[in-house]
Amino acid sequence: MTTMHEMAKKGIPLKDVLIIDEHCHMGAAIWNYIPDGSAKAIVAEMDNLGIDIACVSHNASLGADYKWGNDRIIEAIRMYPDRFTGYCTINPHYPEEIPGELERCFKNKAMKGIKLHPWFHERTLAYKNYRPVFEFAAKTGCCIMAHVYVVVALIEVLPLPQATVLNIKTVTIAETINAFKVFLMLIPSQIMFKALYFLLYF
Amino acid sequence: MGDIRFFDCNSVIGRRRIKNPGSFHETGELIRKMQYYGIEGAMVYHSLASGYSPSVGNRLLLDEIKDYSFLKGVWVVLPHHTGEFPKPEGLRIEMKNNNIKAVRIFPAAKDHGFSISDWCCGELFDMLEACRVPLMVDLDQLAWDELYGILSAHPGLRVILTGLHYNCGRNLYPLLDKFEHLYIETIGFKPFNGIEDVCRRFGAHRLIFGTCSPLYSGGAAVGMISYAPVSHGEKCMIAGGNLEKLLGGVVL
Repeated sequence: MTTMHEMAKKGIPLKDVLIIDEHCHMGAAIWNYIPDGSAKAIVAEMDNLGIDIACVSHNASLGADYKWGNDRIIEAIRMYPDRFTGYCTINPHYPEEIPGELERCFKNKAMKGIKLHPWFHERTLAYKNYRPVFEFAAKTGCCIMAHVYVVVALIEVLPLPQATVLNIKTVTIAETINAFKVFLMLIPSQIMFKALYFLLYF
Repeated sequence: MGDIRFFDCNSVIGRRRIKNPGSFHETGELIRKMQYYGIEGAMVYHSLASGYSPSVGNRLLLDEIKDYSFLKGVWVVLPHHTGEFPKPEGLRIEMKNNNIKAVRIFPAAKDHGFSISDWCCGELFDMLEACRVPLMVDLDQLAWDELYGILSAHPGLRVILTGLHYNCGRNLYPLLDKFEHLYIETIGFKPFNGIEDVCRRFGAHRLIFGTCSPLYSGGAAVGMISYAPVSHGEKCMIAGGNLEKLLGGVVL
């Protein structure tokens, strides 16, 4: 029997295990050159690696027009409904649009999460305009994927207890090294964080 | 189709100033990891050579790797003007005597703090160029214009750019286009299908397998090559063939 370890060394797609990529971007990028960031190219690479499903957001949503990017994700999950799960990206600078955009995106069954990018949108997760997002996630049970990126300060993780209080099932913190630091800070400090939350939010 | 033989151009041994949880610093552990990932050989430098004194670290490196023929030493070098490092001709002889076939520099102000312009490093680079000794340098050690300056002034110098990012293509590609002796380490070069794109545009011979162990995982470095959508022959070149060819061309 060929082990997964042997398969990986030989570059054989991992077929015998379900693999879901929870952090995938689509499209071109503002900050760098991507040879081909199309849905078709991503699916080809998923096949090459043995990835079953990718959870995708669109790079345009991190830049100029989050709704234009969400449209591209809706297109992609319609083209490849078995391969992509969509994140609806929310830009907190358009608070009046947030409820409508969430409703619009989540009409699509393959849209199952919300992507927040506090670094690109230059607001921390504690920003008040994210509150409707947390409430929507609590109501629907969808997950939130937050890319905290460079800044890992206390204020970045304060909303996590907020999410806990709202009974949101999953908050994923992207950017591995920073996520590790977050968990190191968070795990031994659950009680303190909850106390801080009540102090700050009530 | 034979197995792909991996030869790592970029590992470090010795304690480091910062060691993240889960990482390691012992040579024995590096060897165990190499065996697990199927990496047959590695070029290593000593952490004291980068994080303290090149001459001290380089000496310790020789002792540390003397029992392991599959570990090839890389010396960290300085320009000679202060007297703390030999003049280029003396360095060449020392390298020859100790079978050192590649060097690395840390010129950034946060590290060894010297200019890589010719008024400071010209004689050193002249020697490396004449002897075809690969010069490795991390991308965070110099600006793109500085790299352009080195390559323009020393077009025969073999430069392996290490520690790349996924977002370097717009500066990297014109340099790869202009300078045939510029090579790139693979581990940090992670734009989506970037390996395939460089192979197609510039040729697989421009890519050199490197792990940046123990800062990064050797397994990820191997996977980047084993799963790259390029031919088996190209994978073999990237994994080890290109580096062996470069080292085989060194004339000390």
